[in-house]
Amino acid sequence: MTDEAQPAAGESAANFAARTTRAEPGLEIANTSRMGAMLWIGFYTFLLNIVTLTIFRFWGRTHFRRRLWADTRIGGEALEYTGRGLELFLGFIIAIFTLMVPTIAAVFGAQLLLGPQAMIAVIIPIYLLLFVIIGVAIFLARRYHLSRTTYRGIRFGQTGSAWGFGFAAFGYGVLSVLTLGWFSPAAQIRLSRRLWSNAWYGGVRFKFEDTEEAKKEPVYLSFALAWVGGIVVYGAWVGWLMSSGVAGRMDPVAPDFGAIGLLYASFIPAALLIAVFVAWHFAVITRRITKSLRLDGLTFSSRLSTFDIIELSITNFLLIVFTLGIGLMAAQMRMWKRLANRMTLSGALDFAAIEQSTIEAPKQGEGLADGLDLVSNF
Amino acid sequence: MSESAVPGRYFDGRTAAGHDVEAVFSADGVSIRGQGHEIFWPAKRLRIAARDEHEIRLSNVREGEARLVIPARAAGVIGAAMPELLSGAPERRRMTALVIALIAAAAAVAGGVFFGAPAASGPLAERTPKELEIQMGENVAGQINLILKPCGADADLAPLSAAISAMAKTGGAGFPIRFQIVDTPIPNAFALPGGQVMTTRGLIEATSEDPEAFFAVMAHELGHVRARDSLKAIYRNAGAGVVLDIVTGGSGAAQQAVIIAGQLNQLRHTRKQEAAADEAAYEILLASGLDPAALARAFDLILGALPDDGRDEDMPAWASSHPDTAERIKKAKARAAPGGTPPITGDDWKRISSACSAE
Repeated sequence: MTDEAQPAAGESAANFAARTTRAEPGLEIANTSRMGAMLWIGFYTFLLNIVTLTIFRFWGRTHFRRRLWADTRIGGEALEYTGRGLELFLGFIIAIFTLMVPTIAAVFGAQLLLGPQAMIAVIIPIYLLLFVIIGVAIFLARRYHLSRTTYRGIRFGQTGSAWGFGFAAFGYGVLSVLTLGWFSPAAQIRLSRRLWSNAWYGGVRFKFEDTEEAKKEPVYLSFALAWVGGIVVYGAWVGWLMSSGVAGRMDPVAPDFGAIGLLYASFIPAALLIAVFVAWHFAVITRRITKSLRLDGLTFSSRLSTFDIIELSITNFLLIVFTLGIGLMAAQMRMWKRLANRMTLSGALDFAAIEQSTIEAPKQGEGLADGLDLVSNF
Repeated sequence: MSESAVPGRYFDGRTAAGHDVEAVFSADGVSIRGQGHEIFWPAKRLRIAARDEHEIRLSNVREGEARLVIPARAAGVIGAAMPELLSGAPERRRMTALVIALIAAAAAVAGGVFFGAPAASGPLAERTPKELEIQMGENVAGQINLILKPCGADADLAPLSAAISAMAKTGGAGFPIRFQIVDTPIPNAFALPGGQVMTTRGLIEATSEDPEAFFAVMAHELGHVRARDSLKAIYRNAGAGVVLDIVTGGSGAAQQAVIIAGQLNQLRHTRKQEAAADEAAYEILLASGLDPAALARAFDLILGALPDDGRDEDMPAWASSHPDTAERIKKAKARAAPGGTPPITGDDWKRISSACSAE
């Protein structure tokens, strides 16, 4: 394999620099992360998590992102993750005292000090607010994430309102439930639009446009297949449980372990079959969103295929299960790697005209998302 | 070009443009030269921002996102000029210090969870006003009743409640007893805070031939009431379960391991409480003129009424919420003092014990 960032033997400095700083049409994006490195980070994070009551996870996650970013090159130049474990940890401590402790105290207090009706009257609004906060947390995590990502010495950034995003995500979620899921593809595109059209690389703002290419993606056709396929497989599975008598052997008082075993054993193929039906939609919506992106003169595209998703779902599932979760980071790397390697960037950026971001970078982030167990390693 | 000059790319952190430069390393720092400019980064401000087999990215702590990228093969040049920088020693020292600090922090949290919260739960329960505990008990009972419905006619329940209250008074339970039967077939009984005692339809049916065994179970629950065990458990769980739940996160086996350790710790305390409630039951039974060995018969009846798979007799002691049943039966039998008469017997007991079944 030839790497552009590696100067050839005897190559002059000027040549090397010229070759690797060019900004010509079609910046190549590629990730070269290796399994061994990611399994190693996953492994020591696992060990240190045990002896630190999982507090080490913030540093483990930081190491993972550093490696993943450094292995991801655009036009030969590596991304860099500049976040620190301590920032994640402090964000988490802040979230504990501003969100988790008050919430738990309120729920606990309501249960002990209030009668059943009053308790429900207090707890339901708390839970509804938590659903809004899920969106807020996702937004804040992304803002942190982008502010700690640099490319060619320039920071990415996210502007916009966290609460606005939280309420929008909540409202779309309600609509999705009311429409039995049929609003959710539209919701996903709307939320992506909201995030990406407020994302920045330095002083240049991303645009989220409904390009002809993007609109060609069969978002609702693939969703219909996932929806119908999911219901058919689920219905067939439940029907089989009923007709084979497995369901009849389910008794909360006298658990039949043979029946419970059959339930789980039959669930895995059923879930994988549903994953096959969902895979097309997942690939389609990923391409739809990628093809909508534009950064100055640069447009984005993706060749992510249905087969990519099916293959990754199955192999990553096995990777995580057989390593008791230690392989989670490696599995996430494989997903990121596939997404990156299937992505193409066309057009050009005038790097000399892109100035440093003036968006103030948050001091910490992700605390809320971590507290709500929403955070993804990448 | 001097001997230690290496080709590199320089990003100034102001625009995304890359500059072709030559980097000249010395013990004092690195001189970055190109296009008529020269910048000097002193050695003490240099950091390795990233490194792989292709290239080394250097940063300057005062220069934000500015980067000097040089080919990895230049490592020897840097190493000769500044041995400390590439050795990774400062990074390793920081990691070691971090891990030690985190383990200490985790030990402090674990100490609070495993010893602090249980130790504080007793004194805290004793300082809780009884009226507040009674109020809590009513609320918790109300919430349980959303799922487990009370059953039995008042005419049948009134004499039973009175008998249990009398036993509570004799045994010094310290709270007015609010008794109810809930409609579920699993034989069980439990004490909530503030003198709320619940038994299940399954338990009262299982003891339809042996009222003394039923009262023995009630004596055990009154032991919990007297010791304010429910309140202590609430404080323990609030202090321990919640802390563990808050602190731990992420995913995977490590989090599960920590949570399971916390649960096992909780079980250790409930087993202690159960053993103490058995002792209290013997005392309360004797005070009411009943036979402590009736508790042993109650265990037999409960085990007999449980479905085959429902018994946790195969569960190792450390994973169980209650002490080993065979052991408890043996202990209760050793306290045998027969001869008393339960407060409700004969046809009266038959009628009461089927009060819920008839509905």
